[in-house]
Amino acid sequence: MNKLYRHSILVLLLVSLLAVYGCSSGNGNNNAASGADASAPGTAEPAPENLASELRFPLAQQVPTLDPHLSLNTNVYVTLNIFEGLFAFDANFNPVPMLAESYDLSEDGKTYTFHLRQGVKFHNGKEMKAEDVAASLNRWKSLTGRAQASLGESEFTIKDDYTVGLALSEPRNDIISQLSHVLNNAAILPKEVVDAAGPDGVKEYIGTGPFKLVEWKQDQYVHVAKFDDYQSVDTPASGLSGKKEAYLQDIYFDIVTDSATRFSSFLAGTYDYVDVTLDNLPQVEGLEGVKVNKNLGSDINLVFNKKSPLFSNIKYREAVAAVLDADEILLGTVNSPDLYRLNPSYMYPENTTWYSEAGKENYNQKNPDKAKQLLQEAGYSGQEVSLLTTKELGGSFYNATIVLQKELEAIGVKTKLDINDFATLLKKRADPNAWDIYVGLFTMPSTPSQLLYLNPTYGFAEDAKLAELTKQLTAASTTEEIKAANDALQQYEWEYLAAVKIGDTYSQSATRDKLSGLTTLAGYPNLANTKLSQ
Amino acid sequence: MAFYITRRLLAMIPVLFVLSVIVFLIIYLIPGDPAAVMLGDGASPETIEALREQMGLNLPLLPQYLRWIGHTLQGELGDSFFMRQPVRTALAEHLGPTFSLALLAELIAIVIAVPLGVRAASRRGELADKALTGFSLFGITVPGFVLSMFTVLLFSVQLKWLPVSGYKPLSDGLITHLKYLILPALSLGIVQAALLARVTRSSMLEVLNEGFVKTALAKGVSEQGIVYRHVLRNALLPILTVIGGSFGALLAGAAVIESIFNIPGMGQLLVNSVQRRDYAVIQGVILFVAFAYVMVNLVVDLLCTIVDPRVRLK
Repeated sequence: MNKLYRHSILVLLLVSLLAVYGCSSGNGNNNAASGADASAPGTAEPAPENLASELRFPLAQQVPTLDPHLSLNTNVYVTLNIFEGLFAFDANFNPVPMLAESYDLSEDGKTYTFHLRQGVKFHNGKEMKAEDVAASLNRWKSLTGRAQASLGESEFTIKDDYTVGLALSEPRNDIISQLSHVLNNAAILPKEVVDAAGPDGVKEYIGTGPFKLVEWKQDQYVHVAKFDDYQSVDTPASGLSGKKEAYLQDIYFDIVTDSATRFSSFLAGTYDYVDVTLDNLPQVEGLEGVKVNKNLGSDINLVFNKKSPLFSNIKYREAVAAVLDADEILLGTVNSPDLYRLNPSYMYPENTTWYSEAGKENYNQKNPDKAKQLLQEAGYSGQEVSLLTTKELGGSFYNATIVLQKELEAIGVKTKLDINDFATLLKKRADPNAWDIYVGLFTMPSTPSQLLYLNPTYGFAEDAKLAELTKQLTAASTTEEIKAANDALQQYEWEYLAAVKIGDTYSQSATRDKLSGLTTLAGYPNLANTKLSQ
Repeated sequence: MAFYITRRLLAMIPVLFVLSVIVFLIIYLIPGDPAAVMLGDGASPETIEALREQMGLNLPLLPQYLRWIGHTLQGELGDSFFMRQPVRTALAEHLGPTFSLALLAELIAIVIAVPLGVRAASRRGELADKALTGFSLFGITVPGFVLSMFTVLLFSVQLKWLPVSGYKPLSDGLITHLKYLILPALSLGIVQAALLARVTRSSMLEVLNEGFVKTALAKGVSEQGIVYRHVLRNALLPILTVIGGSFGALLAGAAVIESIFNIPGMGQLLVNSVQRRDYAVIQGVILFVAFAYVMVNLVVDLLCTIVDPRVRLK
């Protein structure tokens, strides 16, 4: 008894020490959470009684910037809710007017005139006018590689308060599509915000979207709240377009980079939405009140460095294309036959305007003999092929690359895996002397002109015929012309092999039944019409 | 004493200087570019170049280093590219969670390890001693992150007693603060406890074999009295040193646990900053951690003189 007493004293002492420490260090902490609550706006319209007003949404990656023009895959989840463009994609990737009322195109296809909606307010209360649109889109053009490629030297100009013009040197049919895409987000911001921006981005995050930014606590969360003066369009909600009605008062995008933590948090009830890996699938399948969703996500492409000693030679590119077994690579990447599909087109079948099967005879050849023959013709003598990859981003780049490595080794190609963190990979990929092949997942393109690897700065596709065919494609005006030019470009893509299409992948997510109205496009959730029951 | 402290602090200057050079060179020599990370996949090369220019990344290494060390000597650690705030502010914000976590983990380690070590030493070869061996083996071999997954599954997912992840500052209330910290602290604390228990046991054993213990026993002093009043006090020196060292290690090395539990501490700040090549923050965190490590050691050395006045400071 005596011993027990003495031990208890020791434990009590330590516990009281803990309590003392607890009381004394209180003021040293920077209070992130309560700061957010303090600056949250008051509830103007109380939410219906059966609806929850706050949603916590887990983000798998950090948000390096919230500037919509410095577009990154990760910030789109958040910026989609804060900012809007002149147009937005519906569920079939058709552009639908959002901040634009309508647009006119001159007969020669060179002059666009955008008529803006009137009475649309920014989060700072100012009405959106032509000066804001012109300033935003000119900045967007100067920062975004894809927009630069489409627009060249052309500038957006102010015609009157509600009209913006764009005069192109040559006709381009992809302008509206470029203005709609989520990745090169042509968001409209107030002119003064654009004017105050430095090379590292805007200083304020003010848009016209259904939610406004309340607080961004770097690496922890982004808090957005319902924008009470939001002016919705009346068209039906579809994809990222149409009517938006915010039922949630507050959304917290929590940055939770560890996938096990995200999943456990979902199981524990912290989140009502989570991405699901194949390993975790059995735990949510059949779980009461939980639905598992399959979303079309990214496509996998093998990109060649067209300046590397080996792959500047077309025969080497052809050899790799000949040996590829797309099923094997896709299965190795996503681990389930349910989560991929073969697709010989660089575009998606859902995207009916641009889908083409031209050149598909070169897709998924699985022909090692042909590959060996081509290697022999090219004079291959055991040079090492450097495969640039990263284990980050969920490991899918890496998984695809090691299957490729196995396929190349099988035909006698000596390979070296060059594994990097993502920042290093970005740097090396821009260097023509640092790699040979890179396999990556790409966000769904809406037009062929958005395919990064047709660009001279990404894999170094410096080819006159490719450039000419791309130009013809964007200059085409009628449906027939577009189809012919599109087929011609894709046929040549399969001959020139800037990149080799491997296939399309799906991702899985789980949602609780009390979450409704959430739609996704290209893997990005649209929370504008999302309701959460209590 | 004052002279000793001053001397120790002055001795830190060359250490921190050499460290700063090494850190500076290492992070600038690894590939990767903060401008490219910030601007993303679709950015044009000209845009990236303009941002590099603004960030001062186009200067040669030496001018970059001189500029940075100049600011550092004036107490300015520079600004974070990504967080848009001075590194000093970022450090201050992230120190609180790490300090709380390390302190709680250390307390858990002490509460578990010291009584266990004392008991095992005084009952050598008996059940308590075997239990310590088993516990030490468990604590040393099972990685903290594995332990954390089990505790999360049990306490958060199944029992729903504790949150899975996140952090609430002390101003939200002590109970809330501890609720969020207890699982990560436990994961860290058990590993430390395993080490500490072994050191306590061996240090106690050494003292238990000394003559004065036998004399005291012969004089009829109770066993408990000897163990806690005399032996533990004499055995405290190595124990204190290990506690100091492990506290320093906790401050520096909680990165994995902070990532798993999503605690916005120094470890997570460092990992995130390395990923996005936020150079000023990486340098700031490493210098700060090195400084903290030296300070903890200094405090431990001073405590040793109080516990055992025979340790003379010269």
